[in-house]
Amino acid sequence: MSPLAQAVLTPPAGGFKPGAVALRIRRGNMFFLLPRPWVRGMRELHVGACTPLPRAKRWVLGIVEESSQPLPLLDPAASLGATAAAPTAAVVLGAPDREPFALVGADEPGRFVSIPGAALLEPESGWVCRIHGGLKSTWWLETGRLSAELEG
Amino acid sequence: MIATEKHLAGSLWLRVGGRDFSLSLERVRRVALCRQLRCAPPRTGVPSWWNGVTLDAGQPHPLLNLAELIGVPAAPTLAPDAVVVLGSLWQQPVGLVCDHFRGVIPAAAPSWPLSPNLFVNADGALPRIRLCAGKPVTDLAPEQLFSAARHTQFDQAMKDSKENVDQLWELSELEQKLAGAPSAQGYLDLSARYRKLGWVEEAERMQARASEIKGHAAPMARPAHGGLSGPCTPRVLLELLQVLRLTTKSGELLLDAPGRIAGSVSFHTGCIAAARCGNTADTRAALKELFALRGGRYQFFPGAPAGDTPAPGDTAAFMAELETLVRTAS
Repeated sequence: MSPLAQAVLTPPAGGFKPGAVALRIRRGNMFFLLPRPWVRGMRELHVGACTPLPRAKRWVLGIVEESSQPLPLLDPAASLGATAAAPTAAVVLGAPDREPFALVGADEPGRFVSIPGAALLEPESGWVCRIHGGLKSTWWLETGRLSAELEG
Repeated sequence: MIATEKHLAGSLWLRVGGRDFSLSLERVRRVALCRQLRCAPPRTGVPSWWNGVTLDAGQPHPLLNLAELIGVPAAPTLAPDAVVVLGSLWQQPVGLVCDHFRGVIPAAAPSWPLSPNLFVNADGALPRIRLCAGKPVTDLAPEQLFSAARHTQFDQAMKDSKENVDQLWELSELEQKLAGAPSAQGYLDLSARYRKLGWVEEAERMQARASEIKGHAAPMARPAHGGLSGPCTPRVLLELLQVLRLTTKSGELLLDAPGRIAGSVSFHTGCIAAARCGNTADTRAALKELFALRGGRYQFFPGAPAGDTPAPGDTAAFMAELETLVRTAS
């Protein structure tokens, strides 16, 4: 096993497994895979839809009204320290049995893909993990860690 | 603007530094524009959020600038059209200064907690968020804006402003007396006293009042108590103007708001020659402002004002406009 392969692991949580369906979104020059069961919908973001508020985390863009409820709009690129233009679309995120809890900014509507058989996750401290094996510049959204971040 | 004599439920929707906030109506007594209040400006060396003291309902209310307290962009000076929410914090009467009043949010409007992990919540001063017309509005708990250090600054500023407040009481009483028996010299003296205290705006207002009286020979000679006087409401004011117009009167109608001269309307043979309200000298605008006054009194001093007779058509147009204004308001 290569050193890289030894360094990576596939956490059991978050639904990451080869062959599983995930929503792939683009943000700047990066791609993010979102677990299918957590994707509650996709929407466009018109200019002014997001109200910025003084933020405690750099990856929080502001508040967006979604189904008569204010939800935080998150920028996955910013969570990796990258910058990207204002998102024009967003994915509504929520646990399968609960209310939506956040929106994830994207540059365009995403599309569903299957996680390749050789894909492995590199452990990260944030709420996105780099994917190795078959997918270039792609990260996996760790919903469990994100929920923990939002709930504190 | 609004008087909240009876208890209202819900929240005020306010705009501060480009952001929307809601403030529970529980401790709000009334909302006023800054120009409707008598304010003693702050002394030097006070915190930037201390905007001076105003007198309202017989009590000094320190003016606290919400933008400065929250940490959002604040106007450099206290604007005349700034909105002041008069109420109480820790049983202490205060006036919270904000940019705009946007409405009242019903008590039943749902709200959600604002995650302190994601957003700056000013040490618990911004605990929740709600949607109003599709826009997020942050709940404001103003007590939480005061740390122990700010409390100390507050107490000190309150102590230091005592002299200013006393002066304000005294000069307000003097001004009230002058409203009853106006004299150019009286206003000039008052202007000098205001200037000495560094209250330039008030000084200039008194100066203008003195010039106004000097420029009008007849009103200078008017008796201390005019022929017509009484409490003034928008409807009374409208009827009064109609009567003065129909009876082709000449003279000056003075309107006093509590503690100050609010403005005047000059009549020349039944036609409105001029109107003034505070710093507004444009007749149409001043008349509209005078019709927004509450709790005032009027006094009419007969006499011939200087200048030519104004066009009767203008008065007819003003009256039509004011009638619509009163009808709409009622």
